[in-house]
Amino acid sequence: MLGPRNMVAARYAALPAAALKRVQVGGLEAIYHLPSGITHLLAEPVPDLLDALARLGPGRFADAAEVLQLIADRFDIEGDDPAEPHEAVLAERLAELAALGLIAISPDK
Amino acid sequence: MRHSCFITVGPARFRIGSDWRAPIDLLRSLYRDYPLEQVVPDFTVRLQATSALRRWIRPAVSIAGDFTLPDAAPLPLSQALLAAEMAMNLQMALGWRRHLLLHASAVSRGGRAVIMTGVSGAGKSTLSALLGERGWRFLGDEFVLLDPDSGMIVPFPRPVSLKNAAIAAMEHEVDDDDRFGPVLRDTPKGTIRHLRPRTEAIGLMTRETQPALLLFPRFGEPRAVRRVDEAECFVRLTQASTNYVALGERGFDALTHFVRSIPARAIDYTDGEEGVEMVERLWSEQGVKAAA
Amino acid sequence: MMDANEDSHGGNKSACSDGGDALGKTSRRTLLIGAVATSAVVSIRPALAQAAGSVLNCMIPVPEHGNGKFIDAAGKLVSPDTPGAFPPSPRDFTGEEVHQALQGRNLPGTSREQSRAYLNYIRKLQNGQSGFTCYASLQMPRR
Repeated sequence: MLGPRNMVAARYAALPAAALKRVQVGGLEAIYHLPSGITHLLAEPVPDLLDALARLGPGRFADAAEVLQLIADRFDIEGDDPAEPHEAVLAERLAELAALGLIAISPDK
Repeated sequence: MRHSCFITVGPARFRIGSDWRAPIDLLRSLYRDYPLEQVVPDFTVRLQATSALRRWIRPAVSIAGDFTLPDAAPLPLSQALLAAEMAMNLQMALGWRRHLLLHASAVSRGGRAVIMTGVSGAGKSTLSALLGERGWRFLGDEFVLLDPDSGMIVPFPRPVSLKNAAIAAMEHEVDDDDRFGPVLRDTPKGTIRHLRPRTEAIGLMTRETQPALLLFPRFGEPRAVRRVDEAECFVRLTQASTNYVALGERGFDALTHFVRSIPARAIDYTDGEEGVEMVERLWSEQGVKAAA
Repeated sequence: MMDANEDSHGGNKSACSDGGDALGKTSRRTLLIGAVATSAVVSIRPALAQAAGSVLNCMIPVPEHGNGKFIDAAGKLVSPDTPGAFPPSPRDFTGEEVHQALQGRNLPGTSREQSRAYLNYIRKLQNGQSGFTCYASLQMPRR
């Protein structure tokens, strides 16, 4: 169902916990994605985004605004560029995670 | 194959077949201290003539085996030892699954190993050979095997493949011509000469050892030391491994555990003596910390 | 020893705004979220040796060389004058070709029956025979 802006914000959810193996390696997090066998390295804030979605529960979808809310409950947020809305930055990171298959993305309704 | 032999290096067992007798004789001499009994091999390697005619006329060795790179150019028969080395390397690099394989050299002392990794020519091979003559146990110059279950280093102490300037350096260090193989000139890798490891090192090749220090050496640069953090180690080692991806989750577990459990330094050095001195000094420092 | 050029690449550690307030409660951590254009994920790409290795490049001779035997429909080695037996393959097969043959294609340059005989031979390979490691690596799950 399309709203007046003709664009519905993408919604994301955590994968089942068994799909990912996460290990802190120095200042980054190494993550092994079992379904693909691919290893990725994650820098801040990505591990915290994964944590936020994981706390929501696998299969519970949230858009960037909701994820920002979850994060803001725990942390003070700071972006590199004051001109960039935090939600836009998180939306980009979430899209990146989804493209790599590290979180699920909700099909368009 | 008309002629053949069996060679065991560390945990790996090779059967080497050849269309000519000479390479097998040379291998039997170079590997005389290694187990040469007939075994069920992990890999078969064949040194074969590129055509029936080429067995006799300007003989050229083509490498074949369980694993091969189809475009590899043949080598002249005089370089058959190099062909055999390349073939055995290839089997390990492409086919070994029991351990995580790292392009690295290693030596140990007192049950603790220093692992040295870097690109070809960075000096890890020569450094390990030098340390092997200075009271360290030689564990390997090309491959380091990491046991995913125990986290231990498994030796692969094949004969050191010395190239170009390193040959003279080690001839100076090891005053015994019998420890060396023949000089191979004009190979694709320059001049090559193999150095047989000390018999004690070969005798201990089935004994695993604990990793304790990871180094990224760089030969021919002004002396310097830099701490390398775990994330950088992890990335560099995935590139230095030939089977990280193939090992899947086991590889991930082995490598994350490895980089989290030992300190790492990048060292630049101008010559072999300086390199040895830096390794030994870092080693004692780490030993003191470990004991503390 | 002096770590003269020591510079620790500690990654993107967040600034810790801890220290606690008068009540002893730790104050909140600041999360540095970066910028839209700054990617925060690096995927490990295997070095060329890994990508090109294994299945694509391993070879399986049918049968092992220097045998002189022929292959019957069940993949067993038999003497050359056995009726219905196939001659040794003039060329080795790559792991990739065998992989596809196991999924239904014929091995290149062979008829249906010949391909089946060869595949039966390959399936019977034991540790120590030429091509066994290659065949075994086809069976191993990739992860």
